[in-house]
Amino acid sequence: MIIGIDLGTTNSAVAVWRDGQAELIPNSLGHRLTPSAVSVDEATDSILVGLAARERQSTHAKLTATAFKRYMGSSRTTRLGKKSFTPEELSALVLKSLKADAEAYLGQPVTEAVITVPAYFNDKQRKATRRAGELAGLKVERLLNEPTAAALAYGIHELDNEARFLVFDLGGGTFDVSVLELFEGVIEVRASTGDNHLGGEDFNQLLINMFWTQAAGDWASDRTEQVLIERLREAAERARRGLTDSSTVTMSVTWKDAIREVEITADGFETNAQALLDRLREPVLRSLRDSNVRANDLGEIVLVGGGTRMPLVRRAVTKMFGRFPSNAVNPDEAVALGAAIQAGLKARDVALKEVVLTDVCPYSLGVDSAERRPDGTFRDGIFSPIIERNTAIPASRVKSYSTLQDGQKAIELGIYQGESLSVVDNIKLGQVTMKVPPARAGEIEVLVRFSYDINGLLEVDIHVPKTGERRELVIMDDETASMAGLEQRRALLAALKQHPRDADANKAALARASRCYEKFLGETRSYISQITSQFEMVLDKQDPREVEHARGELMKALDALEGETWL
Amino acid sequence: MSRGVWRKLGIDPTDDMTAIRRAYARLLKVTNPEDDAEGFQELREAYEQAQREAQWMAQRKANGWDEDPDEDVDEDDDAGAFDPELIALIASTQAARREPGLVDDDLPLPGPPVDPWWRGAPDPAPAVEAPVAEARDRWWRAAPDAQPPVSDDAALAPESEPAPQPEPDPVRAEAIDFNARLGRLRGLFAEGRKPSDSAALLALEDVFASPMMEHLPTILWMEGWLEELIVQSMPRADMLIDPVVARFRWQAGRLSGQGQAGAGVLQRRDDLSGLREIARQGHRYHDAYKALTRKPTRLRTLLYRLNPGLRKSVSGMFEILNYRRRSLWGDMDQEAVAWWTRALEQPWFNPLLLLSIPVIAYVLAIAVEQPTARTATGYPAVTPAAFLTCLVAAAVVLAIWHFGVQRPQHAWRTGYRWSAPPWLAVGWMPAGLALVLLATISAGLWPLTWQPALAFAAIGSGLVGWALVTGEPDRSPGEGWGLEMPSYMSLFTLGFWVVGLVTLQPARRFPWYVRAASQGLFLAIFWLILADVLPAAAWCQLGVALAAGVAMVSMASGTLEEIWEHQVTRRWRIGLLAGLGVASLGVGALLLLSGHLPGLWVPAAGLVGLLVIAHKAPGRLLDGKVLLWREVGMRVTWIPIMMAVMSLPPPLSRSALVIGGLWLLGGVLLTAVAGLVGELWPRRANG
Repeated sequence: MIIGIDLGTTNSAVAVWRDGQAELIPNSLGHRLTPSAVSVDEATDSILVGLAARERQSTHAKLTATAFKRYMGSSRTTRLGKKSFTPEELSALVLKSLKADAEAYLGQPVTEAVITVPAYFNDKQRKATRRAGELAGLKVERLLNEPTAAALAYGIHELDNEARFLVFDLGGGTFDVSVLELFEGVIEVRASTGDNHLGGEDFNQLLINMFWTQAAGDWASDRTEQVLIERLREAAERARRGLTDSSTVTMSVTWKDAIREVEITADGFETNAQALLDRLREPVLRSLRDSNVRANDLGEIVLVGGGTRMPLVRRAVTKMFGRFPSNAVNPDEAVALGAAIQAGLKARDVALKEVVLTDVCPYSLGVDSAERRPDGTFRDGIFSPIIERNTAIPASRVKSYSTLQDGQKAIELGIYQGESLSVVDNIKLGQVTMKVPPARAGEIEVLVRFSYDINGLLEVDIHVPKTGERRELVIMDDETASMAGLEQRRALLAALKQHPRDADANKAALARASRCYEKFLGETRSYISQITSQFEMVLDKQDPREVEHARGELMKALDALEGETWL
Repeated sequence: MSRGVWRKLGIDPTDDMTAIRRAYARLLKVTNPEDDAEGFQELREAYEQAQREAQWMAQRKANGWDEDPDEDVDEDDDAGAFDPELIALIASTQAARREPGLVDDDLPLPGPPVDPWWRGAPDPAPAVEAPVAEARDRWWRAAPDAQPPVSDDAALAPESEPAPQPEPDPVRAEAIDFNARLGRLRGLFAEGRKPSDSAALLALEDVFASPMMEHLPTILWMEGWLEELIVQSMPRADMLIDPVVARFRWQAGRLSGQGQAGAGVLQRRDDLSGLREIARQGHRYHDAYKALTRKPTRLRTLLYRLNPGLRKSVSGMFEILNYRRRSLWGDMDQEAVAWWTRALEQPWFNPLLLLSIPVIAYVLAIAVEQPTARTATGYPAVTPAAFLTCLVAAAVVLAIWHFGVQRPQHAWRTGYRWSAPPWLAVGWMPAGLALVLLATISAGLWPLTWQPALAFAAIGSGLVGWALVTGEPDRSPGEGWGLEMPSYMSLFTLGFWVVGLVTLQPARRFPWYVRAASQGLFLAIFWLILADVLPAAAWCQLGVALAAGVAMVSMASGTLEEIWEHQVTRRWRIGLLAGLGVASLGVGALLLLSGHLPGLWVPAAGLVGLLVIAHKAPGRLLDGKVLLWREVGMRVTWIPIMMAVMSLPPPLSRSALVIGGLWLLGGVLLTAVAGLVGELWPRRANG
């Protein structure tokens, strides 16, 4: 059984293709979304994942990690208590928890998965994601682009139509736009573009900035305090969600035994967010131009990602296209469902026999090159694309380069990804040096073949016909990727004590209560302390039914205080 | 290729996109990208190619099969009525959801803007008349409704309304209002008007402020419209560049592709920043910039004429304008551009040369008089008569050069070159060979008279002048053919250069004039040897003719090669090469005989010279390697052998004649044979 996993910046989800349809798998708390958060519980020396971990974010900021997907593929490590983790290890812990949920739900071991990544993830980030899957004990059958997954979730119900549609995916940290076409059972991605640094978090930051300008006062000196930052973030997130339904919200933050509140109106937020909203337009325009599809030919605008729940984003989309976007898919769940459908495709499920999905490479890939100016000097650092953006994948292209100087002994090729004509503005993926026999300028030819596979992984093959020498290069495989190293790291991760699954809900409830305790002051605080100790007493009795009842009561009481828990 | 594409898809060639897609979809089910990457790539390529071909077929069909393929471009050009398009476009957005039938396929998103005049292929000969103004006028003429379209508002409504809607539509009202704003903006630039910056920016602001600008199709359309407006009304609309670029976030230095927008405007912006740089004091082309932006008054043109540096700078600037920053033509003063275009085309007395005439005359006079007296300042004192004579002589030479060569050359190149009969273009070559033959006969018959030498000198200079006027030297930079070295010789590069320099032969990458000057080197050395053998008068007669021949082939080798390669048919080439080979063998025999019969010296030497001159053109076009080894062999061995022969005691100097002659003939024979081989068995690599 292959599962589909949406490994998101803020939330993750897992789904499976069963009985001719995709269904989401609930976690141990019964939620369909699991926050992408990891926390270390020093008392029991165990690892918490999901809501319980996220609830500890503001109370145990130094022991909790969130939003680590933003650093995927980098060597940055996060220290939680005594241990330090790479982003891929943190992701692996989340994946492990999702895997456990799926196994509990399906009643059978799960070893294979389709994992989604932002379309704009580069080779390095994709490989890190795949390694995270392997660390979690999952064979990653396929890395799927998130907007493509969402499109699959939408398109699977529209297979009989011929349609073009646009997927507008504003997630927690990234923004992706894809234009797709459906015909004869083929779901074809025509173009994919995005903005790697635009998402819900940017809108949160905006609210935080508004808070600072309106109510900072003497707190300004504590601006860099980790706990305050986390509290502000939480308050901003809550306020942003509140603005979905009401036109004014109060953003309230507790710090140093004082509460400050700021009234935020939807209009004020929209005015401030204008610059961010303007940035939404450009990727849309680019994807339309690249796909050669006219805005009026689009059948539907499909909104995906938590960010699109914001009314101001929906309004901006409505203005752009002159019509209302589609409500056909659930923005939070579409990606996981699409991953499950892809898993079904992969497993050759009968219900999906007549469906084929073709995706594109969203960015240009190429090498740096130089040219000789008429006066004999050189201009180097020119990006020479080999696979142009929005080429259907898997794709393989070859381009020929030749030596520039007499007696040149080697050719150095930098491998880049990006759209700028000058390589310094593009992302460097790797570097390879190829020895060539000395000869007159231009006499030695080097054939560079780029193969971009269906998972979005790049392979470079360099061939010198004159010497017959050939070099294959898989980009940026660092030493940690070796099989032995991977095994070792997997063993280390497995040795970490996971918090018992069946106690997750209680742990989450307690974490929430302790967060609320710090958030409120005075009488409310003692009230929270009181109901918490009541709940702890019930826990000690270890009667499952009673515990569940008491937990429900506690949650209700906390909901009454701060509003419902969101995912 | 094309057939294979359709076979791959399993359908007949068609312009029906649906059929192509159906075939592709059907095959995709069996060639799934998941597990047959290579198969998918092939299928995908076939699919994309088929789509392109279908598009092309459809386009041709739409144009009526035999019409010019550029036709659709013209249509776009004439579509000056932008407003109905836009209104219909907007109406369709609204109507699309209600009545899909309303979405007309012909509704505009204007395609890529018509390639404007300045982005087209650079014109090889820049038009003398102001190109900008002309193109600009053409554009405005082509747009019949150059008047602000505001007035048409009322009239537009019915024709752009396919399905009349009785109730007033707020979106329509917005569109009409937007259209009015566009009209105002465009009206500012109509008919060559130049609005003030603030007025234009206000109008643009007004357009951008319209709620219509939130709407994607409008944005896409506006990008094209504004780009066209800015590009077509350059330089009057330059003030719009920055706000427009900022508004649409156009980025320079991005990979082009369908997604690239605003390229013309970005280019213009880049050009303008280049112009600002040039306009700054101290820039290389600052003088040229000044000369090209000021009105060319009488005084200024006189000064321009006297400034050789300026001429160079202006021609450099022209290069920039022609090839890199074409949009800047419009920023130059059109009269100045016209004046400079004319001036640069005409042959030109170098003022420095003019100024140096007295100096040359003075030096000449010193050489002639060899005075011992000194002037007060310590210079050698020459008599005024001698100085004047020399001055006149130098001036006459210069005048002959100017009027006899430069002027006719210019006339030839601008007027007759492509229409003149072949004999006029290369008639000097057979004439030159005939002259050498004549000199040989004459020297054989009257070896002791001097007068023929004078006549030959006169005829020879005429022929050289002819060759100079109609022919061109081979100005290729010396790379590519003939002078390439195999890579393993690169270790010896330095030594090679030394040998090359010593023998004054065209080693690799010698500039063309060095190559031209060294063309007759072997012949010249041979000729020096002959001085020992031939009577002085005969030697002189032959020498004059041979010198003329060598001068001709050096000065016009480019033309010779071109004619040999492209205008002489293969049959003729084979015949001539065979003749050359046979002749070299014959002359070789004659040369051997002449060792015993002194009477044959003159004809033998003359004929060797004749053949050497005759083989120059085919000789330069041999296969690179053969030519290389021939040259290297000649270079490396010739000098030592000649030196050895010369060092022998005098009675043996006749053997120098024989050995040197045979050596030269060997080179000719090699050329003939290699040329023949090349003609008869052309290498496949060249095909």
